[in-house]
Amino acid sequence: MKSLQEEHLNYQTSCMQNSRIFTLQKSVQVLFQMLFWVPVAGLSLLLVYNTLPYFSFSKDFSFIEERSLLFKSSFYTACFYTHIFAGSVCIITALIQFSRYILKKSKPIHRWSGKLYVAVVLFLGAPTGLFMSFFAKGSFWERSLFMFMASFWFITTLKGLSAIHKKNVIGHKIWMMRSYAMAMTAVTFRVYHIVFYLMNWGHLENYELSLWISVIGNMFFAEWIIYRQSKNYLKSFATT
Amino acid sequence: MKSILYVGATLMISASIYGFVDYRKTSRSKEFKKMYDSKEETSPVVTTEKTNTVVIKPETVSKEKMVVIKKQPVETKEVVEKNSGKKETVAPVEKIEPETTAVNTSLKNNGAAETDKPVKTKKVLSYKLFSRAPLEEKYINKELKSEPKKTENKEQ
Repeated sequence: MKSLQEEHLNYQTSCMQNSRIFTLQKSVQVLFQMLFWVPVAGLSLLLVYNTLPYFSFSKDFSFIEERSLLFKSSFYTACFYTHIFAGSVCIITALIQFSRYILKKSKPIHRWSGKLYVAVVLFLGAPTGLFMSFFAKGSFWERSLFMFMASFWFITTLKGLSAIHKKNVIGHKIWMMRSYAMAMTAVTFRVYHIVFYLMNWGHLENYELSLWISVIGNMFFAEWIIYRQSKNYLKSFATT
Repeated sequence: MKSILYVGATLMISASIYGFVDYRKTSRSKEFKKMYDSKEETSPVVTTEKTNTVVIKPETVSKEKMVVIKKQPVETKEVVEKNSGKKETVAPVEKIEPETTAVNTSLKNNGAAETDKPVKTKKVLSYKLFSRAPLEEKYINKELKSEPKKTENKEQ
């Protein structure tokens, strides 16, 4: 029979090994989180930074020149500036929302920035995006995709809001992840667009492919993360 | 919560209806149909420089016809000085005209005289590309040209 001392020593060593494994797992988790959030945050802020010159209301931008016919309409112009303002606010507030540190330290910041995100999406970003989707570049399918994006963004944000009103935190997290995936198509679309541009793809083919990959890719990525985190994936589509 | 839902749904429905109606109006115009058509070629950006080079081959010179360089004869004028009565010839200034160069027609037909140097235009990767602007050469070149002008204005 082993003495009590030997048993105690064995127990201590096994605990130390478990804690080391636990620490290693945690550090790997943090590393992957950093690998995800650092480029996402950097590219999001870069997109917002490149959007700021548009608020000089100058027409000396290639995006506006390309659509000079549409910008003759004051309503379309108003929708455009409203949409890019809403998109910029959404991207910045969403970065704050996923911070656990801010959630722990100050819940009011999370709540107020969340309300701002929801208001901007439901009343500004999604409706103006839906209107502009009718005049988007590409074929009928690309316009339909933009319409789907605007509608899906609206519905997922609304579901996230209703989930937290019913005190369903997990449902709220899941629906807000889907909403954020739609908001981030603006960033991922540009990444793919530049990659295919450097590979000398034709402009229209590049545009269409980048659009489809960014939307479908973001949706699949969000669903994959939800699937990994949730115990019952199919129940994630319910709000109650 | 219901008020948010009603307001949001109203905005979405009105945006879709107005968008559809506006689209039906503008889609009839030819300008709208051609709005997104890029004027540039969609082929890879490879420009060629055509240079006419004179290739001297002694074997083919006698057989092929050669274009002789022609120059206008120098006209001499007789200048008569009234006082002295001497006649002097003064060569006027030669007229500057483009000269024809010798071109070997056989090589021209073969295409060997024209050397196509594929010149790949470098694609500049700038942080400004990460925006909503279309990634077409004509727009990118314009934006890149406008950048040094802006920096010059700032320096002044």
